[in-house]
Amino acid sequence: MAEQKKIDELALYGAFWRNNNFAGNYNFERLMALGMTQVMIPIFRSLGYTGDKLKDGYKRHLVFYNTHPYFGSLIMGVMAAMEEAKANDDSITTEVINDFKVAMMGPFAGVGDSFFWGTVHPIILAIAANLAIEGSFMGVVVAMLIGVLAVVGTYYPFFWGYKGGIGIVEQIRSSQLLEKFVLGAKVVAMTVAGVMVASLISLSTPVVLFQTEAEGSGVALQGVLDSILPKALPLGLLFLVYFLLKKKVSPILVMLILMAMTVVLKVLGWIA
Amino acid sequence: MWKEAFLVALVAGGWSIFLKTIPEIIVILSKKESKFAAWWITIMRGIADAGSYAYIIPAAITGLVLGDLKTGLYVGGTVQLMFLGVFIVGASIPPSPFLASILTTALIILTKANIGEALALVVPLSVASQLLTLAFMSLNVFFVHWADRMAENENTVGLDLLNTLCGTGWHLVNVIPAFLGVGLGVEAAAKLLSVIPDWLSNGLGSTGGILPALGFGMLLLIIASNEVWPFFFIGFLAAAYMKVNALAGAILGVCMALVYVRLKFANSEKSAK
Repeated sequence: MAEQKKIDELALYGAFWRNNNFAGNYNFERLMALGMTQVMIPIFRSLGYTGDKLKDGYKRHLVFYNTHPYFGSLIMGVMAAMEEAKANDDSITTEVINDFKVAMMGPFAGVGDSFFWGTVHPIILAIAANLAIEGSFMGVVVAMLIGVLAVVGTYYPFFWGYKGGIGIVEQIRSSQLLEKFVLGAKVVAMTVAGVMVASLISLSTPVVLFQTEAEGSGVALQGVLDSILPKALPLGLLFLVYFLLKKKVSPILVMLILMAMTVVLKVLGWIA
Repeated sequence: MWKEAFLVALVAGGWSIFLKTIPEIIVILSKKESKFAAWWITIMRGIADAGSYAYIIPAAITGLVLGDLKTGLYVGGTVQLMFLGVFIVGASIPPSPFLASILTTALIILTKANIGEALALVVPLSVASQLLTLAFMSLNVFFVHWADRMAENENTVGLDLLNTLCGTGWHLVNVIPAFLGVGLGVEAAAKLLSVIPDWLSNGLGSTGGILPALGFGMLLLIIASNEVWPFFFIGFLAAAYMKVNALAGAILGVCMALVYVRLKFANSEKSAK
């Protein structure tokens, strides 16, 4: 039996740093295809691919690919393991490799989006922003945590993916780890979104109803609203935006509507 | 103004050309991998990533190099809150205030422009950034076809360099406008601001409290479902009545998530048996 081919450790580190350029060539046609291919370069070199084998290897990975930049490195790790397996056993076809990628990139994007973009980033950024507005340099320090997460969040999944290989999919599936993680992240994200809608959107009205000539007469609309539900206006605004987005109005248009609305209401004196 | 323009361009991503791109090119051309290089490049990526999501960082550093850290922190924090929750999902590119936070900070410090008025420029500049991003994504289609030809010719070093330089291109998309914007645009922008009538700049200034609604709307569009809406209202009520802040809200959320996930999956495992 021929000697088993194995990826050199340094080549794995070569793949690991190239993974930072996952979106270098982010484009409309195939998104992260070239990023995926670049990660494979040290892997192919280490496995001694040449000629048609190398050509096919590049073509195999120069296809549509799009996932989450951090957790997606797990897929990159599994790809390295699969290429290693293919180098030893040619019965693993290009289709098997691509099916795996296509099957995993969606769920991983989902987990990463709700975990990082939806939960962790808004929490860190809201805290950092408040510190910064108060003039504290700690705001910058707290914001740097995002960079730490980027490094840690790509390192562990990448090497975990390589060590686990294709078996990791079965492991994740049988333990329902992905589903639990997605659901948990969504619960946290929804809670934090609720907190932030109430604390960060500032919208209040100085309008006084039933005002007469007499001093101190009239009813402050804001007071009435507060006695029904504090922060009712921010909540209403959020639902307006949500409704528009749900009706497929583009975010840019919503942004312009919000700006026009703010200017008009401010000129009319209806909002503070 | 060109000295300031150079400094701001460094902050806007110019630094990464020296500290990230050049080491990458050295590794690629030498074809020798090392753990040190891998970690160095990854850490540089971490710093670049933090800056690209946390607009506080580029704004504060811009303030620092131009000699007014406080203004940088204030503008960064304010822009951050306006765009909290706006992020790239799938292939849809939202307006990005990265460049806007830098240019607005520079404008305020260099021309003594009024902060409230200058913040009115954040949204238009963010949309301009978005257009540059979309243009670069279109240009990248051409590069990926070039990569196909390189693959055909087994040009490994070419592929390696191409993706790395495309990555640097994302920094240039910010560096060049930052340089030209400060070098040529600052005085024109200050003039433009002085022509804008008060009622308009006042109104635009108060969009700061309104725009977070867009970010959260976009966030909810992706993660909300009937199953998890109640948690949104729990968080909302906790903040509206008890003034719970973001960190406390996160802890509350984690607690509820642990309980809810455990209960839900305990049931599903039981029914599976």
